[in-house]
Amino acid sequence: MALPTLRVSRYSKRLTFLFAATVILGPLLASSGRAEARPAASSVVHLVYWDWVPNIDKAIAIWNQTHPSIQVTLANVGGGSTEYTKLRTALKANSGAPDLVMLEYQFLPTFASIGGLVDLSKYGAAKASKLFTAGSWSQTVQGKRVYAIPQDTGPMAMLYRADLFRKYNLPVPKTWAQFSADAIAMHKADPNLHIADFMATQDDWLFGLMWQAGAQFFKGQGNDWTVHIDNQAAIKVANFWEKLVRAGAVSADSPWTPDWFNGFATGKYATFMPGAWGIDTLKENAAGTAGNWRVAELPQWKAGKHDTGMWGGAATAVTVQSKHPKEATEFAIWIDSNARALFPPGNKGLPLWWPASTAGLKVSKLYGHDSFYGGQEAGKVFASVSRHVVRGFVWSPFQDYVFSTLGTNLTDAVGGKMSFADALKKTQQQVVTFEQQQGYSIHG
Amino acid sequence: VVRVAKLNRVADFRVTGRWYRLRRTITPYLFQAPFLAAFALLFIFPVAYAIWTSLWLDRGLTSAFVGLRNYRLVLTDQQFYAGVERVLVVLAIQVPIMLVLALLFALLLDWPRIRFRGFFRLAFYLPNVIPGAVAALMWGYLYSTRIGPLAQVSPLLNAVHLGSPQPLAESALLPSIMNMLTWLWTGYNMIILYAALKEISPELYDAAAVDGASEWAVVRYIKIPLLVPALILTGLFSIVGTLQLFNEPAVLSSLTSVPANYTPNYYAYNMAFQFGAFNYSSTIAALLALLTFLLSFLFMRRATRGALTR
Repeated sequence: MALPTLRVSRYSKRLTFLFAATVILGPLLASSGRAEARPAASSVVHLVYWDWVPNIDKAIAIWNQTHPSIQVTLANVGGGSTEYTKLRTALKANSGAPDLVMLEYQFLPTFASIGGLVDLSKYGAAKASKLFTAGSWSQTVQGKRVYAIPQDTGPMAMLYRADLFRKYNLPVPKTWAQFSADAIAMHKADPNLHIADFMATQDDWLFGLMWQAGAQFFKGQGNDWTVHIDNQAAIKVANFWEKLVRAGAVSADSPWTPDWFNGFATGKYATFMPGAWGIDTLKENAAGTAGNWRVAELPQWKAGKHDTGMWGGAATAVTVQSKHPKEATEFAIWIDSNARALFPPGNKGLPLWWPASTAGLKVSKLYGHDSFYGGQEAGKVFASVSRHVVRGFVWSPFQDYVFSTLGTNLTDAVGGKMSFADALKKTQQQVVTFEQQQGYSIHG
Repeated sequence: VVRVAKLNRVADFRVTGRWYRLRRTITPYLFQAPFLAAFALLFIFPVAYAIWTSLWLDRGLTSAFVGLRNYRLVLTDQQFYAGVERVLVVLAIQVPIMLVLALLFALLLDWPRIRFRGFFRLAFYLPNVIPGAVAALMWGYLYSTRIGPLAQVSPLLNAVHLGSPQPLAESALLPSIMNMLTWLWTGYNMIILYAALKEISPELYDAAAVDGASEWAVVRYIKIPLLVPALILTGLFSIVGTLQLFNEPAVLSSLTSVPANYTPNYYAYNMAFQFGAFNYSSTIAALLALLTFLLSFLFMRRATRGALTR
């Protein structure tokens, strides 16, 4: 028993030594090499970019090859809230933030309001507006200020199990009324089957559905905000889901947990309503159900309409700590609008994201027949719904608090402690009180 | 005589001289300096800084001195009290269970006829050395209703209409956390108690044997009374640890939805790093420290008084 332990420790000691040697000698060797090419090296701008999109390093490699004077280093410091936590800390500490950072649209006002983001219109970003779809560009500007360059968008559509709808002889829902009827019938036919999962804590999903219904939650600028979380459209959507959750026809599992992924793999849920990025999410996590899925637009509140909202989608922003905001802006526009960067070599021919750029959306590779979706041209459905995103939706600078509070209250509501509508009302009241205390001027 | 007086004067100078006195006062502090420097840097400074920031309100790039305003807000915040209530429930239910178990295991390990002592000692302590990330994976598997052992048991339970357990449901979250805490900390407390048992002089056991005391009588009249100081110590650690509860809700948040205010410490963390309310977070932290201090103080006073009268 003692021998292998010894061997391991000796090995690890050697590793430590090697590591130390590289750490100490590496920069020395590198700098001696660099010294020869000094005139060039001094004019090279180095940028650090935080982004969590898989394989984006391959697109950055193309940039670094073609732009020797602006070299970009990628750091994946974690996705979503993990990255935001680090960014918030670095901004607070006045050091440690990257030059460029990936931010979801719903958190742009948050970081703009704490003074963390550079107004890119100073560096010619306004001219780039025509490179992107109008809907995505409108998410990154406040008045004349441009806070980020749109990267991907998340127009919502409905992925559904065609085989299950066929098995129980149910029509694929075109309206929410039909969806509701299908939900009850499906659950009656098979008590283990649910038409969808109500993700009480995934409130950008729920906001997307409320967005589709015409909900407007926030209005304002700087320190002055009007908050209306319990608006009529939002309450309509909440009541709709409450009815189905209470009937047991819709489950209420926590999203992104092992159980939830397992639910897709084993046929517990018959639909999933993600943004366009969701095309690939199921492929990776429910490979066994390949061929059974199809894509359709979201069910509608009024038959004949084609409205949708957005779930997700992100942009590239430049932080105030960057010493080279001009070069950073140039890079951000390139990576988010260049069609070659969208399909870098080594990404299995898949796009890095569902592009917000008009050039990206023209790439035919986005619209191929997809065997996971039974040969359907899944991309075409998302391209078509992206034209019907309801305009003028605004996020707040305290979106994290809104989502967290709403998630807690909706979880309580699912548990029967209050109605879904009361969860919205309670959230409204809590957000107004708390953000007033935090120094915002809030009108309820 | 003159000579003696002169010598005395020299001695006086030596004993009462300013330099000598100064040296006498400084020397102990010089020895303590390394500790004091680290203590000031790593303890006094952060605490003072937290209290200082709790007196301000930052909004974007501006910042205003607001005095005790944040304290008034936290003290009227229902969310804060909900978290405090949860840790007090854990304190009332889980800590006694854990300490009784730790005492039982320590006494069993100390029982002369026990076998495989080394194995059991290690086995009980093992949870404490498992890294948090691994523990999170493990509990995710154990508490899952679809992929873990529960997934296999549930159909059987459903068949006899018992209903399958849902450890990650909102209502079961606190018991699930108490279960994790017991698993993690029982062995740790057991080691402290076991070490204290090993300190007991064997002569006492010999004397008890001579008097014909049973094994139970030895436990009741020698071991437990002599364990009281160690029990007080484990009790104190448990109070402090429970009030600062953070890891378990943080670990479970990747498996299910955990409210941001689940425990005061978790609330303080979320306030700072999710919601960007750094001042509010500092205030929660300062009040939590005060509460911890108060409860520890009350516990120590009661416990030591009880020990003295015994």
